[in-house]
Amino acid sequence: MSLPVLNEPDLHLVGQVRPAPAVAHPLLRACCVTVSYGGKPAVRDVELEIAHGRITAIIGPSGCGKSSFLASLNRLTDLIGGCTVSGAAMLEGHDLLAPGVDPVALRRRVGMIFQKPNPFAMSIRKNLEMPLKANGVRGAADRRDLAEQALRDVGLWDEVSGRLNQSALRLSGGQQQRLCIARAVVLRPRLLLLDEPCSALDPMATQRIEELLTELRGGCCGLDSDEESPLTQVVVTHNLAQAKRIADDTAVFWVREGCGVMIESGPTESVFTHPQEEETRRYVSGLQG
Amino acid sequence: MADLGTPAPPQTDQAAVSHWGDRFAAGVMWSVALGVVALLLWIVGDVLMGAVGGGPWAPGEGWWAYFTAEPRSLGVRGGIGSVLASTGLILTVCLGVALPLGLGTAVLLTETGATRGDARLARAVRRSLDVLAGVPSIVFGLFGSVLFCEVMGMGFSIKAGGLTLACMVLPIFIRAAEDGLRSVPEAWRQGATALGLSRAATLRRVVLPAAFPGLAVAFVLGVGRALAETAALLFTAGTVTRMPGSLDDSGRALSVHIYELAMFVNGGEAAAYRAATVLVLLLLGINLAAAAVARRYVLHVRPSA
Ligand SMILES: Nc1ncnc2c1ncn2[C@@H]1O[C@H](COP(=O)(O)OP(=O)(O)O)[C@@H](O)[C@H]1O
Ligand SMILES: [Mg+2]
Repeated sequence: MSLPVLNEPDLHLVGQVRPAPAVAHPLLRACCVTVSYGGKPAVRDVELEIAHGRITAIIGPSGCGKSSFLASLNRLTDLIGGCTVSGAAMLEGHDLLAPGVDPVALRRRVGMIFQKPNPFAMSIRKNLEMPLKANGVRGAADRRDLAEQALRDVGLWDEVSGRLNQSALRLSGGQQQRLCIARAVVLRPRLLLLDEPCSALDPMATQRIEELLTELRGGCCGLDSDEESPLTQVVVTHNLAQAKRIADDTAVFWVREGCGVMIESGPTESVFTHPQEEETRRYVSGLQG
Repeated sequence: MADLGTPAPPQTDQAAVSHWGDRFAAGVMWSVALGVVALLLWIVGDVLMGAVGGGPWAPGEGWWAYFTAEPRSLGVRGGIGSVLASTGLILTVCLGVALPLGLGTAVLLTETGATRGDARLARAVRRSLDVLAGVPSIVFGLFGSVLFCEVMGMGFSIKAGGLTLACMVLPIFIRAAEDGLRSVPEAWRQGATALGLSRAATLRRVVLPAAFPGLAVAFVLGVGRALAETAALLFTAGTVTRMPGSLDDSGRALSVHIYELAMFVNGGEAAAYRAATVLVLLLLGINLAAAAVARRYVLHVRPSA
């Protein structure tokens, strides 16, 4: 399938990208988060602050628990048999991991994008409108408008406006991933988790997604409001160059004594140029991992 | 790879042998496949010939009268109107019970199971179903005649027949529906959950629509089994050929009609063939319709390539 729009320069994006806020106050604070499978911890005692309105990258070798930690933040770990999460993750004063929290309501505030784009086997339009309907947006006209706005937000509108009723599975991988981001963003989450969102995409599509994420950090419209507000993001990535390009902060996960741990975190700049840990130094210079 | 010094390996005997081996294997498979098709055509052809060769059944009336008139002379003459009505009612009772129960059980088996207890229960249910699916239908018939007709006091009735059939169809329907649900990618469930859909909403809005073609297959398997069943109905729905007035009346299903005509009625062969033709066409029609529905649905929801 051809990707006509990839060849166009994305000038309209450039003007909209706003810098990340310099003074970072945490939107989410993970305290002592441990994720275990069948009683065996996969990642232990993660202490991490996710700064409001910024992009945080999580990097590290395979199997160090990045995905597990990420999934615990919107309780997708609840779906996995034998998986337990302990510790606390404070989002705006509420502990997400507390037993009393309704995970369904939580997931509307903390969205998630997966490695493999997973649009539903429905039309492009229904992919956007169905979640809105399920989340209580009553008016069909409202859903239509929000869906259109979401497609504009992710730069898909010009590509798909003529075939909204076609199956979303006919889109290219990059377009599918942007559709998935659109359908998450339209619910207006406070925090968006992305687990290797570009791993399955080609370099051009990857570049589009990266531009989109930095643009969304600046602000996007969605449910409940016409006003743009910044979207905080946590991106797991295997691509160090990608972390350098888009992340304001970076956290490094590692396997120590057979269990994943977070070994250091801080502004991307300083993690890459002045790593505190020996493992980080070797990893970011491409010697290991 | 690019070693130009050595000549290309010549076509050895071995390559030729495997070539002929392939041909032979393909030939065997083709003959087997053609054999299956031929068998089907033979059966259908035999039934049709038998039906056509039997002469007129209702002199002075149009052929459609066969589908509306009541059987006369033990079914040798007249039509099959009341038999079709009974068949329809028995099938309705059977599906009315088996579809919701079966779908519910299939959902229970696939969509839950996060805890150990769930998994153990699911295993027990699955094993029971496999055993039940292998139980001969005559056993279901005896069971139904004891439970529904005697203990529950329904007597020979369409209700009892339909419920007995439901017991028989359930294991097949559940396992097929389970396969359909299992074919829905886990990524869609995860995606829906991450979008703030509850489990019920995920099921209703994502999983069930995506599983639709598989569920249609399950439906066809269930209906096919129910329509073809004779033994389970003999002792439960009975053999009365009158037009049923209610679900408490006894009624003769199409398959039972064929059985009775072929086994116990003198000169009933032609009539048996006629009824068999209707049954075969009915099954064929249901199969084709379900396949068409599933195909259209698949085209709509899945990528073309
Ligand atoms: N569903 C699961 N069941 C059991 N173990 C799991 C499961 N998912 C992940 N793990 C284990 O947890 C560890 C961390 O996995 P993961 O979070 O996927 O790491 P990463 O995303 O950093 O590659 C691995 O050792 C993996 O084997
Ligand atoms: Mg991972």
